[in-house]
Amino acid sequence: MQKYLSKIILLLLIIMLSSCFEIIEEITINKDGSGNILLTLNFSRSKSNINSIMLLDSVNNYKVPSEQEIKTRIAGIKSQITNISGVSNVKTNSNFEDYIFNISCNFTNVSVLNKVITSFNKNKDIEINKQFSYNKNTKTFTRTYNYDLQKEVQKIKKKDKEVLKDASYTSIYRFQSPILSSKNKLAKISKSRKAIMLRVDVNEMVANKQNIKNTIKLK
Amino acid sequence: MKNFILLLALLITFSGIAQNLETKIPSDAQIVVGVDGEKLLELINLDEFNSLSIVKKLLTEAKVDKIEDLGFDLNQKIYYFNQLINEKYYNTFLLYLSDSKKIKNLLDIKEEIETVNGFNFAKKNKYAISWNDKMLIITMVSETNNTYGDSNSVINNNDEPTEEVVEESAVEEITEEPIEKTKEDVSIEVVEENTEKNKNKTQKQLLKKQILSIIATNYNNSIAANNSYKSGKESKSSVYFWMKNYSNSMMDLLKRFPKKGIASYSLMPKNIIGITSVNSNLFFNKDEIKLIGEASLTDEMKTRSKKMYHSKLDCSFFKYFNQDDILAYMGYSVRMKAILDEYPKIMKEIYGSTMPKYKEEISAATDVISVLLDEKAISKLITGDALLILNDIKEEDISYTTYEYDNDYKRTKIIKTKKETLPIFTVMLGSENKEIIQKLVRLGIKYKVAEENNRILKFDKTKFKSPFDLYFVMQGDIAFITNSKSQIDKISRKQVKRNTGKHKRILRKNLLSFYINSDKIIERLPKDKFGNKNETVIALIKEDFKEMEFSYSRVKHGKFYVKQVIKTNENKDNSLKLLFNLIEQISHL
Repeated sequence: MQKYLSKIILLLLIIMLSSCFEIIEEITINKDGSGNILLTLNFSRSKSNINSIMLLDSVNNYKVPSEQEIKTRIAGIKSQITNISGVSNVKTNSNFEDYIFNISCNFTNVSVLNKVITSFNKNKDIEINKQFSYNKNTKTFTRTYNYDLQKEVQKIKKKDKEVLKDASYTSIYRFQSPILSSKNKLAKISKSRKAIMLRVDVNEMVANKQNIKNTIKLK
Repeated sequence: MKNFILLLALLITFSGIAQNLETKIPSDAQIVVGVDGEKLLELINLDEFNSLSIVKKLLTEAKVDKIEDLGFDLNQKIYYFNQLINEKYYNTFLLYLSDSKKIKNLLDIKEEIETVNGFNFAKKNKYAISWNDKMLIITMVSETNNTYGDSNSVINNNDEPTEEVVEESAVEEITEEPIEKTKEDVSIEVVEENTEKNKNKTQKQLLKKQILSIIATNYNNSIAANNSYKSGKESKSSVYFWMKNYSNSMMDLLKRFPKKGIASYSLMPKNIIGITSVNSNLFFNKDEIKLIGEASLTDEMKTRSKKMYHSKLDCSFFKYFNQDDILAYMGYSVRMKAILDEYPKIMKEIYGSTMPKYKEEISAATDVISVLLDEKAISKLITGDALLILNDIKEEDISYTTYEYDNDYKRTKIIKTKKETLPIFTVMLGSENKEIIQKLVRLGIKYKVAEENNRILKFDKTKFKSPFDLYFVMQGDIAFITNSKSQIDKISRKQVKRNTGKHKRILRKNLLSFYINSDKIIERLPKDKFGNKNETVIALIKEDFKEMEFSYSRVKHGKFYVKQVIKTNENKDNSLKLLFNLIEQISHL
């Protein structure tokens, strides 16, 4: 019965605590198409909620992974990325105090970058995961995605969609040449014109009101 | 038809009492539900019922404007009952008619209508519909996992059942490819069609037999003559539920899922559940919705339950109980020593029978557990009395890490704060072994898991990744755990104002009790959490639904008693109207 008491307290907490997270995608592209990517998954705003969830076996019928299982999964991704030809300097960082997870690496060209992105997905189809392209001749960098997010999210139960309520996706791309133009009107070009930032709400993305697609022309 | 059944279920809340319809329920019914519409019609009139969105939607499907147009006599009573005959479940609705001519159109019966003992009879899908000028019977048969084989064997007297299974799967594969049909394909389709026809024919015969048996039922062989059924019925209740034998019904249900992993639950001994008849009465009073239920126990369960559950929450708990500081609670009182004595035996009975292959291993393991457990010592450490109290809901500043960006979008880590709603709770656990507790406290301090100040032990949130600090103190024979500093200070200084109100009686009288003060809880929840749409419903709950109590009694007169009460706004018409109003508001979300 004591076990039930503690579970009741935990469930009370989960119900009351709001959850949200941010995904940050920072990419630096050199003139020759090589570069560096730093992906950050920040759950710090939901840490109270996650601390409570981590004490349970499952939530909403989803198994809650242990800290060790998360570490193993990250190590698996790191090993996959390390094995991609053209990738170097793979680093991961896990902060279980604030629940912030980073992964970064260098890549020799954008097609290698697409392979890096593919390693995060269950679907290993490189065409589906072809999210970046860089044309050295036209000096054009393109960010796209081929998922039907709305369709994917529709599969999720209504109560689980709450998780996406305050989630955000931020992309920052840096170049060695100044940016001439950007197609996505929500994207903001920095003062130096060598960086561009785009922040969208995941819920708005799902509703097709905002998206992270962009075509950036460089000088 | 599904919607029609849903409408019937709704109508179950709307029909008058009529003893003679009850006499049509065969005595072998496993479950019976009957509703006193006369009482309900005193509380809400038909115009109000017709105006509900959910009713309107269902009436539109039924192509009528108002519920009176359905042709049912709403001043009579509707019954639902369930039977298990020859491994098949029969679910039946019984109701009186005011205009039998409307039935054919209402139920959209295009099938052949036969006359059976003065009743019209038609089979539509899995349902049999039978009616005369006064009465309508709708019955449906569902085949259990076990019966599927039976029905096939009935249907396929002249067929080869094993071959049919092989051929059916072959049909599925063939139909996926649009190729020309061979003679073999055609013969498979013919067999399939014939099988379906035979199945329908058998089902129709079964349903007809069932209808005939209902028509032929009289008082003496009906449920109306059953003492257990009669004695549980309260004259003032609006809805009455009765189950003949809970253990048997559960065992029948378990037979449908005969094997899970290595355990065969169908092998579980019937007496392990130990509950025979179950009944409950639902009342819609002016200021409350009340459900009262009772479960009769077998002699074995009576003895076992008395040993384990015959205890009362220690009176010293109430020294720390102030109803003004309580939003909700859950309390229970069990005899820990008896539980530790009995549970290994129960486990041995359950797992020894459901996993016969491992009977010896389970028997040895439970015996070892019994030997290892010092029941007396454990029951001194945890007496079996516990009370979880929700004292408050508060917003607190919580820090989190995020990033800010400079002009070139280079990021810097920053700490921000946000408001989070946290429950303030207190857990009280009965414990008579202060020595062990003190030893554990000293260990906690030694290993820097906790720090002590004035007998109060503090568990720092940063060490446990908890959203709050936890405090522990031992006061008399009670161990207190709370996340409120002020609460633990009050407890340790014995400054909690004793104010038990009606709750002492509830907690002392029952084995398990829940209480929720929805009015106070909603008042304390931050308004911006709900969103505009939900806000209306939340405001309505606050206005009309005040408190909720749930209690589960100790064994008395060989029975467990369950009581659930929702207190409603006493200044409004009545609780049924408030419930319908809430359903209406929720349907608009």
